[in-house]
Amino acid sequence: MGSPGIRVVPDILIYLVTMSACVAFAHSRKSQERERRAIELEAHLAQAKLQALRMQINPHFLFNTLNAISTLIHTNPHTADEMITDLSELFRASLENSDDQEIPLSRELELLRRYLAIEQRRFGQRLEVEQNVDPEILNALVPPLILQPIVENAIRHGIESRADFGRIVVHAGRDGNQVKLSVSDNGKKPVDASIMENQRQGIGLANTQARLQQLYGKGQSFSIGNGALGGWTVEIKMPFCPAPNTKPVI
Amino acid sequence: MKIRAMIVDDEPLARKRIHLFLRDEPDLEIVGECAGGAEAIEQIGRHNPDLLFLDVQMPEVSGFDVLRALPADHWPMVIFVTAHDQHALEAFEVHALDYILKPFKLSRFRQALQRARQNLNAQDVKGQNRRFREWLLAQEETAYPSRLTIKSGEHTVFVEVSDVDCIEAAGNYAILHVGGTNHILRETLANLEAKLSPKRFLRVSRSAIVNLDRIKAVQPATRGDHVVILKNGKEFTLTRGVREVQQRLESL
Repeated sequence: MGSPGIRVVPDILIYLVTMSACVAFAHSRKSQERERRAIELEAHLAQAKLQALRMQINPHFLFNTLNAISTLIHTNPHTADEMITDLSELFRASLENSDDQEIPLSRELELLRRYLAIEQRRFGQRLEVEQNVDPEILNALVPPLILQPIVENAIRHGIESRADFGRIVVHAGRDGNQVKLSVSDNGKKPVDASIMENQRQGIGLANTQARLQQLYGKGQSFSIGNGALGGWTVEIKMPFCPAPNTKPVI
Repeated sequence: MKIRAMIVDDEPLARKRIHLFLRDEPDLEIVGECAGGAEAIEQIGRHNPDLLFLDVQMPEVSGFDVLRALPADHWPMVIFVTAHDQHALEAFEVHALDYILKPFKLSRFRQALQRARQNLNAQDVKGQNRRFREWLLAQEETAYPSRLTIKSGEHTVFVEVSDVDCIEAAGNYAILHVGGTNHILRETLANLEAKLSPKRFLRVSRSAIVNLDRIKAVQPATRGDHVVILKNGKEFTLTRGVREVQQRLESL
């Protein structure tokens, strides 16, 4: 029944329909994958901002900073003024509504400078900060709030654990096609090995690691090790990618 | 008679604020200012102040550690000055002097001072201090770990704190003597000391901490020094007051 020619047509039809369904499916899966990745990135950025906020609302930091300002109002109004601006900028950066996954390093360092200015005024001679930044990489794109939690961590485990004085060295340079950022402190390490392991691994840096992984995959690295100053050194590497110059050059 | 006050806070601007506010109080005299707990313990011993403005959260030696280290009959009145510390609130419930939260108003500060003035004339200072001290010591028991974790290569060893006989410093390392075994830790004595309850361990010198339970004798040695002899035969020269050590041993 029926000629073989007629049979061929539905076969081709079936083939075409199946093929296009497969292509469409694969396509939608790809776009779903992309979407999922974007959502994850966004979630991690939000988490980084939340973490920064939590740190600023940390009563020890916030109230001691306000207490320092309230003294400076009597003794040195100009410095009090600056400290209020620095504190405001820190809050602004974490409350910011932008979803930018990357910002120029110069902006991240500016935020860091404000944070460290506050801490240095609080601790006076007890905190020594050194920043070595290669000016060539100031326009490199980095994830926002990438250095902030690491430096805060160094301060908390570094200076806030030492009665004498704390030292923090921030280094930003270029290593071939990569940006290399590192933060070292001279903090004391806990005697208990299990606490030490927890301290080494964690403390809010898991999110930083996840963000790097998602943005750069194999092109990045994140490591924590014994530092030259006696405490920890955190080192991050990521592809060097300069920000497009959006400002008109006159 | 002036009230002799001391300020203890690790942040210079925080000390300065109290300094500023005390300028207008003619009946108060500042006899010392300390940036850390260890310095405070020493200075309090020397100046014997009536009143202490004490920060709680300080590195290495906290405000509570300072009070624990003082002999019971040398306790000044204490006003805690703290950014936020649940302990300070609890402590206040036991020891009815005062605490002020940073940042504070001048009026609140004056109120605390007023309370201190009244307290100076009160009868029950000793009783309050005793209750406070008991509370502090009770806190301490839960604050110290009962065992230490020592990692060497692939092995992890747990040592019960009560099994430790003594600890000696060796450069950047510390040697833990536990029964017949020694464990080497990359840790300073100061860090280890902070891990161990001062009720059970004593720093006898720059380079040694001993378990109070293991002391067999304290004997005079040459040049007015004293030697601590442990049950395992080890001897350490004492570089702190022998009377204090004897008191600690008696209170066990």
